Amino acid sequence: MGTPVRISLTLPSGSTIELVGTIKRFVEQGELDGRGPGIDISLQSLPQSVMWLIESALSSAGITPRPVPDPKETLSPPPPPAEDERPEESPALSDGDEWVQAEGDLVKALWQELNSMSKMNEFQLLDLEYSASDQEVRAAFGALSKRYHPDRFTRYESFEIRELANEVFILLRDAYRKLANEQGRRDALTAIEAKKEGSAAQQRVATPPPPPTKPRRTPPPPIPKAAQGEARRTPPPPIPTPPPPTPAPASAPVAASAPKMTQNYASPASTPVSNLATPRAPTSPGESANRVTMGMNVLESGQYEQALRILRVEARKDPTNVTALAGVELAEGRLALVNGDRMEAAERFEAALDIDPSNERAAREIADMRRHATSQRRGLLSKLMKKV
Amino acid sequence: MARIIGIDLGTTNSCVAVFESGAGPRVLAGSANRRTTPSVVAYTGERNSGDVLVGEKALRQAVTNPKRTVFGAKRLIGRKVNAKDVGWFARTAPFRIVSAPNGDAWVRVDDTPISPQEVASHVLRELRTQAEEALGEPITRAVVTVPAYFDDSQRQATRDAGTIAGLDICRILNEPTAAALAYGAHRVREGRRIIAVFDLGGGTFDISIMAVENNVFEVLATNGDSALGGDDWDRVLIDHWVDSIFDEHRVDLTSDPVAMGRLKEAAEGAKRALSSERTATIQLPYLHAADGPEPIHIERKITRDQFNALTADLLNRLKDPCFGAMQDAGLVASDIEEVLLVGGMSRAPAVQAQVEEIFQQPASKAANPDEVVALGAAAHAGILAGDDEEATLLDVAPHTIGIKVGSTGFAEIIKRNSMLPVREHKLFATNLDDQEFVEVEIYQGESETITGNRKLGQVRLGGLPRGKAGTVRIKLTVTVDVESILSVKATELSTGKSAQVRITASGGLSADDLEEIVEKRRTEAMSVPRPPEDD
Repeated sequence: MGTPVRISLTLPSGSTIELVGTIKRFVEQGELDGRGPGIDISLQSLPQSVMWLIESALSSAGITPRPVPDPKETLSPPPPPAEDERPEESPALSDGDEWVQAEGDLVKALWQELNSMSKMNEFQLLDLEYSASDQEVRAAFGALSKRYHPDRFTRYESFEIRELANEVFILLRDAYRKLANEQGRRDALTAIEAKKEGSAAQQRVATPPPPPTKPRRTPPPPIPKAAQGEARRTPPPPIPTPPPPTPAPASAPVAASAPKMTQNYASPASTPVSNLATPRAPTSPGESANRVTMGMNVLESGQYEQALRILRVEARKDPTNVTALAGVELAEGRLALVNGDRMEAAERFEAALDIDPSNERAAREIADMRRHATSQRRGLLSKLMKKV
Repeated sequence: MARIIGIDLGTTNSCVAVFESGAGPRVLAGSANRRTTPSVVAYTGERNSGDVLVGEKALRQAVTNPKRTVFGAKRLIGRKVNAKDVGWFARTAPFRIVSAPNGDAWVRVDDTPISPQEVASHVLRELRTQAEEALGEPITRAVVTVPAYFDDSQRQATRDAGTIAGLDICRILNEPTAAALAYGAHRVREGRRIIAVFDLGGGTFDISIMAVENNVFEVLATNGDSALGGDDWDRVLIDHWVDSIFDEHRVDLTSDPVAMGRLKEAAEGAKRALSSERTATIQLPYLHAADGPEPIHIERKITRDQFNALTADLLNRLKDPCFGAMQDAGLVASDIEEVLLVGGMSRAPAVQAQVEEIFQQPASKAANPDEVVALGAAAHAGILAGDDEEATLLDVAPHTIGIKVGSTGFAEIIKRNSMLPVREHKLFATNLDDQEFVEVEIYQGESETITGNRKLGQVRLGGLPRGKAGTVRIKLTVTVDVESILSVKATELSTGKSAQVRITASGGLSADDLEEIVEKRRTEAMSVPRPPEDD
């Protein structure tokens, strides 16, 4: 009892998850609906990204997770309910179970959505360009209202679903109220710029340990998850493979490499990219910044593999370049999406946002995925409700 | 999923409708294909027998049974008996209006005090039955409309009426919003349109300004007067005639309920006639037959100009709410593309002229002014039930919410016309050294002092850290959801200690009262006479 345990789970994707906890008690034969004998383990709280990984693994293995734990549990420090060591075969679900599960899934999706939304700026919340007009702001908010207004959730019996929807909508309405007119949009932009510069300056002063660069399909280091505000600020742990020793000049202006708000991300890359894959070292800071920007443009134009190569090189050269590091994660995420691995993609995007909280693309990608997840789960629950 | 019906619970007439997937809302007619039901309840049979007639049947016997025929319950619901307009109403109503122990306005029939919630519940039950017969299925849920300018206790009292009638009220919807929803839904076209809904009903006046775009109905501002309606125009006529009869015959008709009932009916008729005619005549033979040797016969003539002169004050009261709403919406008259008239009293030419003057444009009339609110309620029911995934309604909080500061000051936290749901924060500091607790009192209203506003509730946060006055800071978070339910949280910033309350307005009846009434109804249904009450 109380003995610390460590379990290494290797997922079908090749990722390994370290589960750390203590033994709560020994389960006798036949206990827990005949699932015994075994041990009941209290796990330390799981980072959100690990939850995503497990979910991804279960879904790719064709196993439906059991009714979700209370989302508050999964997001707050107290340990989640003990899990068995091995993922068990799920029994065929009856309609009632299905309903409970669908409700739980929706709660979880909304909770996660709310979580990522709380990190977004007003434009990201409404899925708008920074140059949006009155008309575009209204249209965006109108479209989101059709999906998220609390009236759309009154039909669900679960109090929790309705409360979460309420919270999501409050964020949207506040963003709308701020952006509804031109003056408001200008003020919001100024505030976003100031915040960005503030965080860039902080990074320059603090020079945190280099964030992890993740080669695809290798065990991901535990990502400090943004689910909890405090956790998010912890510097990432040292990476398993040290970066190649090409430290950028100490004066490397991180802020300069961060894209400007006013830049139009949607513009396709007009620069030829054929020979950019081969790094030419050493480069001046300005040149490096250009190459990162170029990499991001290549990414935007849809050439993910290409972009990944460029950005990886830049990230290796300057492990403090958050734009490049986040870009790597973004490119990985996009590739995962292309391959249909939504869970992996979400994890990559979350990682990008953790590395660079002001990263536009990451925030938008995540918003998109969250919305998708919510609407899928609502669809399922509504279908079940109609059956009854 | 079971259907949700939409009910327009009007001061004079009520109407019920339902949303049909794919076809939109439609009115559910009652017997003899009547599409609206008079909001009248008559207590008949033995004293306290609980026998009631509702609607047309009740209206038909009103003249012969004036003291036991209750109308206008909506004017009393959730209100105090000492409110000014309740006093006016009491003076002209042939039935008695009394004070409940908590000061609420109730009616007294025979010797039994009856809450307006109970009266209204008879109307709701009648509509529910009507809907069940039309649809051939049991109905338990409804969206019920109220004037936008109803306060929280009037809304809650309306909800309670639903509970008594065995209806779960999924949402209380504002009448002008409902009207716009029904009206605008047929006219979806490209671009954003700003419309004003001018709703002057039997007992209330609402003005709402909305933006309609791509099936999203956004209320920009709402304003009104919950004590101004067509009945007030009647009252002016009645008062006018009561005075002239007193001058001529030295008889005060206000103590003769039968005469007052007939006079009211005549006044309504004359008012309606004046909408199309230049003059109207009333003839009331044997109006009063007390003391004097001769019974009093009355014949009076009134011209439209005379009538308009008498009611000029009422017409004037329509202005402020309209300008207030435009100001809150940040608009001027020329921004408004269309003004939609709703409610029976908006048929009066003088009212229409006033609207034209305020908004500098002719107003359009709803095709079916008596049904448009119920249709809107049904449309919203369709949204809530998931039968309509397109239309979206963004409504506002009609009143400002704030807290008491100092001895009588009122500090605004949530401004009126904020889109719901809404959450606002405000920081406050202690005003005593080593203050141990704070008690935050929450008020609703537009006055700058709390005495002019209504208290909704309070939250107490104890165990404050010691500190000089003004150094201990408390963050107050107020949230109002789409159901207008208010939650208030007070957090002390240095310790993070907090206290939270969820405030549901009281409609005047406690949970126990409600349970008792519901139980009583059940007993009545089994025809067991009820012992008289003596409170």
